Amino acid sequence: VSGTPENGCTARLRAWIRQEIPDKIEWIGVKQFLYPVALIAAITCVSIYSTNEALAQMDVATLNFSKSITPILTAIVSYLVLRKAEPLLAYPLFIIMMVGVSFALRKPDAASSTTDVITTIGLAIVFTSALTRAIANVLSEHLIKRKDSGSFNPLVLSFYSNPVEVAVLAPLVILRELPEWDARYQVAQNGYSLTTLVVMIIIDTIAVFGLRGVTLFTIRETSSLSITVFAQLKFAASMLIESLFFGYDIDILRICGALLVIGSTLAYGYLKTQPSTNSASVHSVKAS
Amino acid sequence: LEEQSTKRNAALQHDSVMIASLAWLTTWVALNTGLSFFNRVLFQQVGFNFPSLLTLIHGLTSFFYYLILIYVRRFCYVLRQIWSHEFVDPIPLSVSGKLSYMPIPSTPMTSPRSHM
Repeated sequence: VSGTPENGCTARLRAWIRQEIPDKIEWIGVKQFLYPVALIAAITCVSIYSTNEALAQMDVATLNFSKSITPILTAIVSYLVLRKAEPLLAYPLFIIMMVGVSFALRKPDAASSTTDVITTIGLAIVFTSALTRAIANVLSEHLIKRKDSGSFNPLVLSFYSNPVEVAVLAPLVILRELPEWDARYQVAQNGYSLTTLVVMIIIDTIAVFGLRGVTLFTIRETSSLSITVFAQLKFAASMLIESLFFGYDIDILRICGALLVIGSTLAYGYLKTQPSTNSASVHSVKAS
Repeated sequence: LEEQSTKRNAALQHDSVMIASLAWLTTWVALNTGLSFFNRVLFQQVGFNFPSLLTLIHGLTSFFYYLILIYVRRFCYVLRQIWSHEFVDPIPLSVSGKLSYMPIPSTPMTSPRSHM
């Protein structure tokens, strides 16, 4: 059986690849898998793009406050799609959370800066962003937690979403941002080199890759609603970091806001650990 | 006793699920907050004010990072097999140092000394 191959190293490498890496990527060839992934990725793109557009209409604090409606929208979409009912007490907690976010994000000179005008279009864009984010999260949860054979591994879902995101965003970037593209000039204006920019973008992409994976794994381990609720903690954490490391002013109202956000999030977490009767009743109603 | 044991196991399982969920959520919040600050620096201080382009770059790079992850994972798997002497080399080196083909056994070699 023994023999000498015509080219040792190449044959050895080829055999190793063939034998040990047989299934490089299991490409999705079935439409029933491709459609939901493409839909989720497209909805996520709409959410990202509308958030970016909303930033042109209002300041960051107003945008984040408006987006704190996302848990309520996620609860509604989750009920409609997954038939998962939240305890009634959760809704007042979401309202308290919104109030807390508005206090925590309040600018120290809010009394003097009354020039920010919230337009109807701006609010509509933010609402679109929040709603699409809620739909994307709930659909991801549906796809990841499916009981039948069509469930997705979170990393696989993230992987297949990327080409769709690129395909959706490419025309927008070409039409909206590429005409203004002059990174070398813009970066030099701020005293940074192009190398610094590239290194920062590479770090950013690695962090985003990690975040995307962690997001989907967290949705699998918890739920789409839990992740949107805990996302509000980010504002409280941001406020603390700003005051500790960046020397931003901090007043009593912002501290109260942060405490409200933390308190309502923890209360929601406690509520979720209790045995639920609502979800059981929904399933029983559905079954009947 | 069996009932007590079942209850205790259920409580332990519930606790472990809670701890795992909390760990995932904490990691997610920390990563998300850190990334928000990093993006703020990138947009406001560095002056890279192209959010959609950045998202496009994220999509492209995440695709390639995932590919790298697949192959690194597979490579680690092969290395682990070699380390535990369970890897069956399709073209092992002969005693004389020349490459030679050998039939691949149907069952993996479990004894580490069989390669010696």
